[in-house]
Amino acid sequence: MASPMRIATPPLKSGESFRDDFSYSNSPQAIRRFPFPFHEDKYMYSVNIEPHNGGPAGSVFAPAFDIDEHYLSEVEERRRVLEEDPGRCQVLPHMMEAQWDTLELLMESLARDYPQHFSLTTDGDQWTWENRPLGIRDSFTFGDPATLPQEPFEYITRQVQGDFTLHGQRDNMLYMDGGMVTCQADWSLDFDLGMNWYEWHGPVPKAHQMGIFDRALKFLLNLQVERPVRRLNWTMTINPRMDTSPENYHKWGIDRASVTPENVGEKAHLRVELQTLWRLPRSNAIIFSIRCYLISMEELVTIPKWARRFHRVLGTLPDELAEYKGLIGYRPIVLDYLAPFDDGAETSPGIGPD
Amino acid sequence: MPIYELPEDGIRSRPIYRPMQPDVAARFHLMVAEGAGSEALAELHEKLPDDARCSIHYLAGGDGPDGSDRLMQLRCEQTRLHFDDGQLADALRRHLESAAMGTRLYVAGSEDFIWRMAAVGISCGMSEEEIHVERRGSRARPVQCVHCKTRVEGVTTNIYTCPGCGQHVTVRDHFSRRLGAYQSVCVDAEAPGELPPIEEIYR
Repeated sequence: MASPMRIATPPLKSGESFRDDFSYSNSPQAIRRFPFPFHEDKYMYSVNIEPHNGGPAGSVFAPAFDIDEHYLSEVEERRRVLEEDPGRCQVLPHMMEAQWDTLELLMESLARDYPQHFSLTTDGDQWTWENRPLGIRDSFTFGDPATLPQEPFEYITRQVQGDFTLHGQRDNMLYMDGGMVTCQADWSLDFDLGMNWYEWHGPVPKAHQMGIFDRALKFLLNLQVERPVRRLNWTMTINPRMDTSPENYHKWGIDRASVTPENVGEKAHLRVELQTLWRLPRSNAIIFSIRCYLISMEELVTIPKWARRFHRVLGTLPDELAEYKGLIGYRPIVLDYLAPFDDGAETSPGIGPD
Repeated sequence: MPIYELPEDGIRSRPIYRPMQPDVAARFHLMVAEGAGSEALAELHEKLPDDARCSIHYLAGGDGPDGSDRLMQLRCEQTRLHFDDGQLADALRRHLESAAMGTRLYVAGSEDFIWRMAAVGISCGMSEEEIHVERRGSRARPVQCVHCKTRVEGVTTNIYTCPGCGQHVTVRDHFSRRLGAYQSVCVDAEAPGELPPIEEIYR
């Protein structure tokens, strides 16, 4: 893992909203470290996985779990979503050991990577956790849920950006055995809870026929403790809305019809998920972290390489996938917006800005 | 043996049902049905070895064809007719709580019924491999609205009005065994009031 020196520690903004007036935006520093997911100038279907063992200084890949300038606002948005729909956090009863595994992994990682924000002191099973940005200091007995205000999984994932799902492994199969899911790209934890690997991936087009899920499952069944892996996934979202859940689709679906040539730069966002997978040591479960980043088109085009490349990728995305991602309707407007930024010049290798 | 197959194409959580086969490893065959499911039990019973131990629970007097007579004539240690599915589920639970190792559960009937009875088996500690299910009779679907979580049994159309939230929702092929339901989702969220043709497709 990267040393703390290599990890970005931006000032934490507060009061950004992901609904109603949508006041969320990225600072120039946040734009430059955005995890732009495209390695090539055309669309390629890929489920490429790499070791999650750090990355360039200051990048989102450097820490185990990235805490950025939107931390306070995202934690508050999660609180609001849970208040309206407590079913967004559910863990099946047999996963209590995995809940403690999760708490340990997150607390140790955050305290190591962000010592200015978090600290953990342990004396046997007597633990004290301090989260200074949120003003939390709790002493508790590791292994005793009654000593925390919520069950351990909910307690800690309320304090971290991004969604988390918990997967038990039995008879060479992974199951959706729990999760904290408040900033998802249109899937329902409440509905998918208890499903096996093939069932919860059921709605994803193309990859089943390509055998991708068979191979990915086989790989993950052998995932080792302390050898986390990562990949990037993407879609687009209208407005910087974190909660694009199916539960609330009747509220946000209409946004897709609101895109015009005048507002597309501000409204259309590239939504990227930094997904990391970790084997948990006691329970042998897997924790899946889905860390969501949003960038508007007008922010994206401040990086000329990304503007050129995204224009080319979006234009070559097959219709079936554009439909699945829900962007087929407004794609032409986005392409028209990006076209003037694509002068046909070559783009440099890699995903970073020039 | 998986209790059902998953399709190769489309949404892979949608169950595909095949005629149930006797589990050769079973020491006791616990057979449960409603409506047209009686036919599936009769066919299954024919395939059992002569010395097989079995019992039958049947929800009689439903809307569909009634197989009570047919099942009463089968040679079986215990045959019970029920007139309330809650009581049938209770009887099933009592049986499973005192059941010997090697008991296998077979359930046949509507999709709503089979997954509710399978859930009873799971709650009594059975594994997925010990429970066999087969849909017989209507293809009407049990559906849960993803927005308000209201459950509706016996949906036969591609689109219906959710009695919980009043929205026009479309039935997807995405299926949860835990809930025993397909998922429905608002059909006109992106263009309010614009509905595709409503067709009866699950009869």
